[in-house]
Amino acid sequence: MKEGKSSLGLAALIIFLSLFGIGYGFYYMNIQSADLKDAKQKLEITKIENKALTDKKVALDAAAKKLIQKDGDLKLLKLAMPKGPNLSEALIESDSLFRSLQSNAVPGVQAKSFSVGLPVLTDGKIPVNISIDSDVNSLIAMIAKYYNNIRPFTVESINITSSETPIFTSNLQMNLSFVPTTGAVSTEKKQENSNQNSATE
Amino acid sequence: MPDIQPPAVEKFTPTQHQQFVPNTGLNSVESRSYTSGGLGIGTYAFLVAVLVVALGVGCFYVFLTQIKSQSTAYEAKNNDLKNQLSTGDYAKMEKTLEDLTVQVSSFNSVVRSQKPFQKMFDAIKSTTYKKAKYSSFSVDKNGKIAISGITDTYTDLGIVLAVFSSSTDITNFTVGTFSGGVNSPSDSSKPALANAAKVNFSVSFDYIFASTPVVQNTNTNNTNVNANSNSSTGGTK
Repeated sequence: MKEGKSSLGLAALIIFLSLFGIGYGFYYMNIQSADLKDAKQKLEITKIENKALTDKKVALDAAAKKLIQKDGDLKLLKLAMPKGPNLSEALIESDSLFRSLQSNAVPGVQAKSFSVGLPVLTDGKIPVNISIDSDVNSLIAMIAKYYNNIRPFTVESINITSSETPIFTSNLQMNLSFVPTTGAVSTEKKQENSNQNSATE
Repeated sequence: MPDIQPPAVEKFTPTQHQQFVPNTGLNSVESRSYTSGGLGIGTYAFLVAVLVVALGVGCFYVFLTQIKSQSTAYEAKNNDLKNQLSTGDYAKMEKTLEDLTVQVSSFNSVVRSQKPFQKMFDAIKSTTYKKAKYSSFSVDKNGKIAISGITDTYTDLGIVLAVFSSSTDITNFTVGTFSGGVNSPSDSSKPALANAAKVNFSVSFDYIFASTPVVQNTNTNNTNVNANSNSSTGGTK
């Protein structure tokens, strides 16, 4: 009879401890599940970040190789769109173009005068004004020559005053461009802003 | 009192067949060991459950630790990559590429702002009435065009305006000014306005640079002319 009672007590103890163990196990997993979720999330984020960084590194390596191969193109780009005004080069270039017009580089164009203004840093422009006598076709050919220059010109405006002959006088306002200085609002943007303000008023 | 004797109990002698039946009745000690005595099957079941839960917790812990260690390893890798990318050659390369991007986009915007003036001149030629002569012409990069000129009669001016205003390449057509005299009434068969002498006019409009060339019209050679232009009020298209 005594032996039976002790067995019963042992079984009860084991059952109690088992229940406690099971309960604690579930309690532990319940608490740690939030931790697991965070850890998983963190792992995903770090994996994504790692992929982005690795991709960036690979892309930079590839770009470095490509830049070495395209050195000639880079030099051309530097000429075509300098980071600063490069005023001395701009003056030399404008002068040589104008002199080429004077030496009949474009048939039918008589170059009269030209002037170069101060660079506008925020707009990345150097104003160049040219006055010529020509007919329409020669004027278009001259514009094409300026467009196709290594450092290309853009035409802001053309003013034509006519005479009795097919030859007329044209005044061209053109620009030589460079990469605008950052950190300042360009005059065009200022104008846009003022237009928007006046529109809202 | 009769002496009642209990019936004699026959000694149970199992038959040969009955000898194979275990001698464990419902109340026998061996039977009770499954229920109340010793460690019952229920107890073992609980122990197994505990072991399963413990195994689960263990796996959970190992999994969690692994994920954390993986995360830490990736973080270390990322820090290393960040250090590599933010210093030395990679940083220089990144700056170079940024500069190049700005240069290329600036160059593209310059090329895009090179307007096809040839098409514009062709369009203006084709929309100009042959009897009109222009004394001045101006155009800007946005295609805003202002023209002043002269025609022999108001009728001619009317044709000039009609051709301009019907052009598909032109918008915001506005007649700025026009004025002119009237010829002597020698040709009284014509209306007075048809006899007007030398009508000066000015018009302005927007040329759409991206559009296709305008419909071919009358004449082309019209950029040479007298340079007189008076002013008066005009109307809008």
